[in-house]
Formats: sequence, C-alpha cells, structure tokens
Amino acid sequence: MQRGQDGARPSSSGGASLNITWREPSGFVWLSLKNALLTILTLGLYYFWGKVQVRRRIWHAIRINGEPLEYTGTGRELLLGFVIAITILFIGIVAYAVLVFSVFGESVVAKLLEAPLYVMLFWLTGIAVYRARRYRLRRTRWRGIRGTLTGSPVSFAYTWTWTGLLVVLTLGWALPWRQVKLYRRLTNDTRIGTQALRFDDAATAGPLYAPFAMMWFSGFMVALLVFGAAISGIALAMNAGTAKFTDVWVYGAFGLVLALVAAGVILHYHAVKLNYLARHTRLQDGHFRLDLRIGDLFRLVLGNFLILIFSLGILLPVVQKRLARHFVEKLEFVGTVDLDAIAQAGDNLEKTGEGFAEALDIDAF
Amino acid sequence: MRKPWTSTPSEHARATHRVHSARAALPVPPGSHAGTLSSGQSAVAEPVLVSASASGLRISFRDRRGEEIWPWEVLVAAGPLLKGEPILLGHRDRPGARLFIADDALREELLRHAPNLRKESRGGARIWPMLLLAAGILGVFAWLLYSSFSPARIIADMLPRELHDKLGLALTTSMTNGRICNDPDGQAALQTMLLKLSVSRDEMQRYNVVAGRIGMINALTAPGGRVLMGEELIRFARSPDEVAGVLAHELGHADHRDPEAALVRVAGLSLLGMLMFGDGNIGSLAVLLTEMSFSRQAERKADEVSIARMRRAGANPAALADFFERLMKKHGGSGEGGVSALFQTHPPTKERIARLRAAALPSSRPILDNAQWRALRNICRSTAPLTD
Repeated sequence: MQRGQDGARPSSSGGASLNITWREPSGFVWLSLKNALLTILTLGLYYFWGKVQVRRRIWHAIRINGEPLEYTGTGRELLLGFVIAITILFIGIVAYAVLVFSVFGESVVAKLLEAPLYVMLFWLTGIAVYRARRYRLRRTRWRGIRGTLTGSPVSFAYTWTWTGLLVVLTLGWALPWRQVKLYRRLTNDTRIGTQALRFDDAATAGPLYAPFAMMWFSGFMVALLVFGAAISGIALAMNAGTAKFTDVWVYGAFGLVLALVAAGVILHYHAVKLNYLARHTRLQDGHFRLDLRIGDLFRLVLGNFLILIFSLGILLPVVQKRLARHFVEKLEFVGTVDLDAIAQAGDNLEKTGEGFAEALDIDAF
Repeated sequence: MRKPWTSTPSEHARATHRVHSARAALPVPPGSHAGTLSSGQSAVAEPVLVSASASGLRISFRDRRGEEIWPWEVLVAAGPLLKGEPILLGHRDRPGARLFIADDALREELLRHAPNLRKESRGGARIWPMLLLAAGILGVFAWLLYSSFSPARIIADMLPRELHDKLGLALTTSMTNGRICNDPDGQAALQTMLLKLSVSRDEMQRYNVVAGRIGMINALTAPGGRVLMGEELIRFARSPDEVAGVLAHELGHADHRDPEAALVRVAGLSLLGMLMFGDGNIGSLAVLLTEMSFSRQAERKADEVSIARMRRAGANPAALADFFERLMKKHGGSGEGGVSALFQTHPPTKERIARLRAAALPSSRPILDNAQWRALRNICRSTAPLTD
C-alpha cells in the first residue's frame, strides 16, 4: 500500500501527484451541542475556542496523499483579533459621528456625510477578506509546511472598493469581471511554503457571462413577478369577501416556483464560476479541477438550510463540515508537483486572528 | 523574502524518492507502525516505522539506515487525537517537523506517557477561567447597575460643552417638530416660576426652559440644561405647584447631568449591539430619546432637588405627589400609549410618593398667582420656530 506511506506516487516526470480525499470525521453533532452550551455559559467567550475545535476537525478530515491538513490557530488569537477590531471600529465610528455632528448638527449635510462612512466600512471589509485568508493560510499546515499571502491588504482593499463601486454603477454587470479580478489577485499572492499558486493569465471573466446573464435576467423577471403578485395580492385583499381559500395555495405555489428558479440560476452561476476558477489555478505543472454540479449543490444547500432552521443555528458546525466535504470530494489535482521545491515560508506570523472579518461577519468556516 | 531552502535534507529526500517505491512495499514488522516523517523544511516526507520504547517514540527510516527517538515530553499534538483516526504529532523543539502515523494503535500509549497530549485529549481549551471571567463580567454589570459609579457620566463630562448644547437643541427640535410656545404672558409666568425655583438670577441663566406640544403628558430634560415642559402636562396639572414640582424635578436631572450620561449610555450600547450582532441602527435622536431612561437613584435624587427647591420657593413640595398619583390613575397604573418614557420605565413608586408627601410644609403659598397661572396654561396660544 503506497498511500499513507510517503503517499506520493512517483510519476513518469519525477514529480508526485497530489491525491485530495475526505475522511469523514465523527462526533460533529456532539461537538456542536457542546460548543453552543459552553458559549452561552461563558457569555460568548468560548465561541472562539469552539470555532478552533471545529476547524481542527475539518482540517484534519482533509487528506492529501493520506496525510491530514493541520489547523494551528488558537482561540486566544481569534478572541484578541476580534477585541482589537471591535475597539478600533467602535472608536472610529464614534469619533466620526461626534465630529460630523458637532460641526453640522442634525442637517442634510450630516446625512450626506454618512456615505463616506459606508465606503470606509466597505473598504475595511476588503482588508478583512485579505487578512482573514492570510491568517488561515498561515495557520494551515501540510507536512509542517504552511501557506501565506505575500501582497498588501491595503492595496487589495483599494481594488476591492473601486471594483465594488463599479458593480453598483453597472447594475451588477461588472460582477463576474470583479470576482475573477479579485480571485486572480488572491491566487497569485498565495504561497504554499515558498511555492506560488498561479491563476492563468489567459483566463478572463468572458465564459462566466452566459450564466451570469441568465442569473441577472431571471432576477429581473422574479422582481417583476413579485411586484405584480404584491399588487394583485393587495387587490385581492381589498375585496376580501370574494377571495377563495384556493387563492392562498395558488400564491404559495407561485412563490415556491419563483424561489426554486432563483435558487437554480444562482447555484448554476456559482457552480460554473467555481469550476472555472479552479481549472485555471495552477501549482507548478499541475492545476486543480473542481466538478460542482447544480443538482448536488441544490441538495447540499437545501439540506444545510433545513439543518440550520430546525436546529436554530446550533448545528452550524455540521453545516460547515458538509460544505467542506462537498468541495473536497469534488476537488482534484491534475498533474504532478516537485515536493522538494515546496520549502517552508519565512515570513512573520501575526499574533492575532481574523479580527475585522469576525467583526464584519464574513466567514465561511 | 527569504531564499528557498536548498540544503542537504532536500537532496537526501530526492534520493528517497527514487528508492521509495521498492522499500515502502516491504511488510511492516509487528509492534511497528507505518508512517512518514517530514522535516518542516520542505514538503517531502520520508517513510518511517514507528514503535513505542521506554523513553519515547522510536522512529526508524525505511529507505536508509538510522533511527531517532522522540522523547514523550517533546511530543505535541498537531491534530485531534481521536479513535480510528491517524495520528499527527509535532516536536516541541523542532517547529514544523511532523510525524504522521497511519493508524491509531499507539494512541493509548501516547495518552498515557506524553504529558502534552494528555492535556490535548481533554479538549485543549481551559473552561474554568472562562466561566470565572464570565461570572466576573456579570458581576461588574450588576455593580454598575446598582452603584452610583457610571462610566457613561465620565465620558459625558469629557465631551465638549458645544456638543451637549447641539444635542440638546436637536432633541428639543425633534420632540416639538421645531415649534415652541411663545405667548408673552405665558412665557413670563414660566420664567417667574423658574426664577423662584432658582437660588439666584445667575443660576437661572444655566437653564433654558421652554414649553411646547410634545404629544404626551410629560416634561423632559435634554443635555446642556435644556428643559422642555409639555403643554399637555401644563394643561393636565391642577395647580401651579404641580407644574413647579415637575420643573424642579427636571432641574434636578439637569444639575446631575443625567440626560448627558443617558445619551452616552444608549448610544454606546446600541453601537456595541450593532457591532456585535451585525444589525440594529444607531438610530435617530427621537429613537434615542424614547430609550433614554434614568436609574431609580437618579429619579430619587431629582425628587430631593425638587423638594429642596419647592421649599425654598415657599411652595408645596407634596403637589408633585398629587400629580404623580393622578397621572398613574389616568394611565391605569402602568404605562400605555402616550405615557412618558420616563414614567414608563421608572413609574413613581409608593416610596417616592411617600417621601414627597412627608416633605409637605405646614403652610405654603402657590408659586404663581391666578393671573400668572392662567397665562401659563395658555402659553401655546401662539407658537414660534425653535431657535437656539
């Protein structure tokens, strides 16, 4: 048996292939209940330690050539990052509000001056996205080798902000372009040890526009239909005496169909996008391949939705595990890598966790 | 950035690659467990056999001669140590070095001998300090609630006076829709009442008392010494002493800077809530106002001020008790729509009313004469925009 030994099957070119697998972990329901209970008892303090436990198990379930990934973040780091971020946000927002109010009072100018605050918060979200990804890469190891991002969060946040404003100005049509642009930036900044990931220069947002157009026009139609239904619903309510009981069912079925259509086109776009991004992500001579399908995704999302609703959010770790499992099982690496060339990264490790990402509530796992 | 490692381990590992396929297929001797060892300097791993010895884990290389011992005390967990799961270990003194054991057979022995791993198996985080801290935080909150120490008041005192004035103006404007009552005789009566309740003309200048329609039987004190007497309250009162009692009570809040502290508290808490829970809004001033409430102690102290000022003016301090009782009867004891937020959150208790009654003077003379009282009741005969 070769896997579980060195695991790397020697290939004809001399490099090793990377076999990405998922080993189903046990005890997630119990872990979820324990985390929820301790979080309540400690007034939320345990939240960060519970999160670390969940991540350690999920990371451990991901195997490359039979050897698990390792999560080395700590609850203390996450808590510290959160406290620092919330303090900075708190002081910043209060100082700004007091300044604007003491200069302009409660006037139209003061209302207008709220806008820069929102842009600022959006910019901070960009910082948070970059720093959170960097923190997670730095706290993830395989065979002791950890990752990092080499770029500057500030410069990323700048791109994040102006492309975001462009999406608003183009009524959403800049979205695929922006997503590819940001993903390219994050990918090219990513290091696994000393080894860079590369996003294909030739890969543009072009192929994403067909599914995006489908999503956009469906969204437009749904909005129109909902508006129409609301109007006719009001008309119905106004001569309530003539309305029949069956009308409720008609409206219910109509709403369900609309929700299904909306979910379908959105999931289709995401599946196409993520598969496309993975295919053009390279490590040395190889590249990734993701095989997400709309049917699978639909079942996954619906299942997760129901689990969250019926457990009042307590089973969130189970949902996170299911998401991770789905992606890992659909992900493979095509080609080989020279493991010798992946040496340990030598940059500084920050001592605090994802702070702003936690405070601004952007977080997948 | 640092240069990639180009040291001997990687050369060595390159050699292991070539021979690996032949050796790794050899059978694993009993008592030994197959695994890999990586140096932490590159992503190459060497196949090894791991077995337990008296002093630690014995690691022998499968593709070359030699072995090493990792003593029990240097072993740290690099992943959860679970039944049925492979084991991933780190070395205390060699950051990045990892020992991977493909099965869980050594788990019991590791938990028995390796001190750091015993700790890990208990869940990693220490719960008791956290529970203690949580209890401590609850204690501090309880203490803040029942003591007179108020961080909000300290912060409020640090804010510039202009800010308090602006906030007071904005609050008064939002409550009155920007219009106050300005019948000249009524205003004169109100100022007479204020003067009689004040120690001196100088002290009187510290307050800015106006009347206006606010849609409920209430009076309120805003930051910066601003007192707004509701026309509804003036009409509901049966004597000038009742109005004066309320006014003196509000002057007490102004003296103690209660509204300043309350605003800081509400703004701070709602902003904190927004940051922690991701929604809620900082809110308009009107929302702030309805959420603004004073503690029981603040109300009692304001009552004391009311009693002292009414006595000095030679008026009847117990009139305020009559007023409170009639107001409570009107609203059925508890608050309903239109009752002031102040009265709703801290309705005058029996104890407060008893104190006011006990302060009654043997003889008193109404604070305003009949003509002045009539003028005050008609103060809203004409209105004007509120200016600073």
